[in-house]
Amino acid sequence: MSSQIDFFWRLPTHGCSSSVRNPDLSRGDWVPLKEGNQAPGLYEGVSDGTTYIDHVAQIAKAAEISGFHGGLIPSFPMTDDPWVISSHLARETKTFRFMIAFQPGFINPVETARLTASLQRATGGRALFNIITGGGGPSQLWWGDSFAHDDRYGRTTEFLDILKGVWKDGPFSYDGRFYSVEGGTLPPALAATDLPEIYFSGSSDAALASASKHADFYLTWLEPFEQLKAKFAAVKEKTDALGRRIKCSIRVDLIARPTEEEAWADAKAGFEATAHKRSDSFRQASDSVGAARQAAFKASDAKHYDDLIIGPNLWTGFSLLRGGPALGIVGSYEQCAERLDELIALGADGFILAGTPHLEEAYRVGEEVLPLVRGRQASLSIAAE
Amino acid sequence: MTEFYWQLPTGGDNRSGAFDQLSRNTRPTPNATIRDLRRNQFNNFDYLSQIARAAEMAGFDGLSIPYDAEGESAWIVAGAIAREVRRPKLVIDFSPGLGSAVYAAKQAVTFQRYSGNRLGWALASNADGAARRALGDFVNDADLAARLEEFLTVSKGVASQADFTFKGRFFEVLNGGFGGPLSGLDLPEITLSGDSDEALILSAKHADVHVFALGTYDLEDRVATLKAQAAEHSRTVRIAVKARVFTHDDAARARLDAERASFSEDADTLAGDFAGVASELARLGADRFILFAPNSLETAYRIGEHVLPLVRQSQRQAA
Repeated sequence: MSSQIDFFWRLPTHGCSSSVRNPDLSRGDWVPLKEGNQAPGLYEGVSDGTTYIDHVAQIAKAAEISGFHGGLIPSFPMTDDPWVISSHLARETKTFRFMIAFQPGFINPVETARLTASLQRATGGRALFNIITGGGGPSQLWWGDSFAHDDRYGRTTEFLDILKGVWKDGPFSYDGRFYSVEGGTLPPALAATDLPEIYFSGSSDAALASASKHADFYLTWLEPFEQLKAKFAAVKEKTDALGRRIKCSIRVDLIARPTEEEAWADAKAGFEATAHKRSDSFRQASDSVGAARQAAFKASDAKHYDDLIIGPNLWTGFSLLRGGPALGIVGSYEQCAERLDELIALGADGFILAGTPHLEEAYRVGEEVLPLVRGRQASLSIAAE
Repeated sequence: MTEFYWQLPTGGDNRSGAFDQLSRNTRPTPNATIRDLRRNQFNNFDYLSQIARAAEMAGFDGLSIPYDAEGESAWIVAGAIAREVRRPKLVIDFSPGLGSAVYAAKQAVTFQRYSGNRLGWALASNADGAARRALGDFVNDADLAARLEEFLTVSKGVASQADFTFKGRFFEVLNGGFGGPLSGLDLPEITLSGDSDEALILSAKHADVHVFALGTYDLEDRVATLKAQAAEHSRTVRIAVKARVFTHDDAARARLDAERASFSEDADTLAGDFAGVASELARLGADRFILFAPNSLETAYRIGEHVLPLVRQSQRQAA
C-alpha cells in the first residue's frame, strides 16, 4: 500500500462567495445578477455571456495546477450535475480527476458503466466515484428513486457488481433483487479503460461489508480526532477481516492564513456576517448518522465565534458559512499542516479539502499548506510522543 | 429555413483505427517501420471534436449524437464538445428506460444552463427486447410507448413546477421540482422517431421534431398523417429526414464512393453531385435534415461548402 497521501479539492456546485468573511454568494447565478458578480457577470448593463461552468473550470484548473489530484463534485437537489460538469471540463483540464457524487438510484448500472467508460476515454482515465447510498423515503422520491427498500447497502453492492461485471466480464448476466441484466457488455474500446476508483461512506456493518467488496476509500467528514481514530480503526479492521482493506479519506474545510490570528479573525468575521440568518444547514437534514453528528455541534446556538472552538484549530462554525458539515480547521499554514499530519497519524490516507473562495484558496492551500505536510514521516514522531 | 444537422460517428467511422481501436476500419496499422509518437494520446473523442468543429464552421445548425451499442455514451460526447462548439444545437439519443426521469431532467437542466439551451433529446428505446435487457431494461414491448409518455410527463413536471408529485407505472416522484436558477429553463427539444401508427400518435402529442429515415415507405403519406394528428392536438411537429450522403462535383464519383462503402443500395443513401443532392433535399422539403456519412469529417466540409449554399440560396430566392 502506497504511503503517499492523496489530496483532492472540492468543486462547489451551487455557487461560491468571494470571501469567507462575507458568505453571500456572488459567483454563479444562485443570486440575482449584479455588478461584481461572476459567471454570469454584468458587462455594459447586460449578462456578459459567461455561465457558472466558466467559473467551475477556473477552480478545476487552479486545483490541478496547485497539486490536487482533482475534486469532489457534490450532487444535491439545488446543485448542478456532476456528470455534466465532468464531461464539459474533460477536454480543457489536464490532470484533474473528476470525483462524481452519485447515488445508485439515479441511473441504472449498465448505463452508468457506459457513461463512466466514455468519460474515462474523454479524460484519459480521470473519472472516479463518491458513491452515496441514498436513504430511502421522501428524500429519495424527490429524485424519482422509488425503490422501496430497507437494504440500502444491498442495493449499492448489486449496483457495483453489475457495473463492474458489464465493464470487465461482459457479456454479463445478473439476476438481483434490485437490478438485473442479460448479456450486458461494453464495446472493447470502452471495456479496456480502467474502472473508476470508488470513495464510499457509511458506518454500519452492512455499509462496511459493501465497502470491503467494492470501495477503495472510506470517506468521512471531519469529526473529533479520537472519534475518527476509532472509526478508522474499525473500518480497517472490519474490511481487513472481510479480505480487502480499504483506505480512509477525510472531507474537511480549512481557513488557512499566514498567522493564526488572521485565520481566527476571518472565522469571526464570517460568523458575525451570518449572525442575522442563523440556520444550521444540518438541522433538518436526512437520516444520515454523519449528518446527525455534525448537527450535534449546535453551531447555530452559539453567541460568539469562539464558543465553537472545540480543540486546537478546530472550529464547528463552518455550517454557518455555507451548506455542509460544521467541523473544520482554522489556523496558520503550519498549524493546518500539523492538524493534517495528526489525522494522517491516526489513520487518514487522503483528504478532500475545501476553502472559500474555492478558486483562490485552491492556490493558497496548494502552495502554502500542502508543502508543509510531512505525512507518514510525521506519523512516526507523533506516535513516539 | 430548413435546418441541417450533422450526425457524429459515436461508434467510429472509416477513419484509420491507428489512433483508437474504436473504428469501423479494420486495416492493420500502424506501420512498424515508421516511428509512431502518438502512443495512446488520441482517441475517438479527439476526432469527434474535430468533426463537431467542422460541422460548426461548415454552417450546420446542429449535431445529432446517436446511441451506438458499439460506441461512446452520447451524454458524455455532448458534454465533451459543448464548450468547443458554441453555436450548434446538440441532440443526444437517449433511452427513457435507463434511470430516474428526474435525474435525467436534472442533468438536462445543468446542460441547458451551461450551453445556452442547446441540448435536445432524441428519445427512443431499442425495439428489440434482448437488446434492452442487455442494458438492464426489462420493460415489455407493449409498454414502451406508455413509459415514454410517463418519462416526458415527469421530466417536464420537475423542470417546470415547484411541487410536482406523480405516481405512474414506471416513474414516481414526491414533492419534486427544481428551484432557483435550476427552474424555468427550456427543457430539451424532444425528437421522436418511427413510422408505425403508434409512433405517429405519440409524436403528435409529444414531439417537437419527428424523424423519418430517407426511403421510408410512403413518406409523404406518413408526414401528412402525422401533421393531421398533431393538428388535432393543436400542435405542430417539425419533420426531419435522416440520410446518408455521398456527394462530389462529379455525380459518377459520388456513386462510386457509395458503392465502395457498400451503401449504394441502401434506401437511406443519397448519392449525387452537389446540385443533384441540393435539389433532392429541396424536393423532400423537410424542416430539418440529419445527414451523415462514413467519411464524416470530409463530407461535413464538402456539404457545408458546396451543398448548403445551393439549398440556402434557392430558399432565399423562393422567399
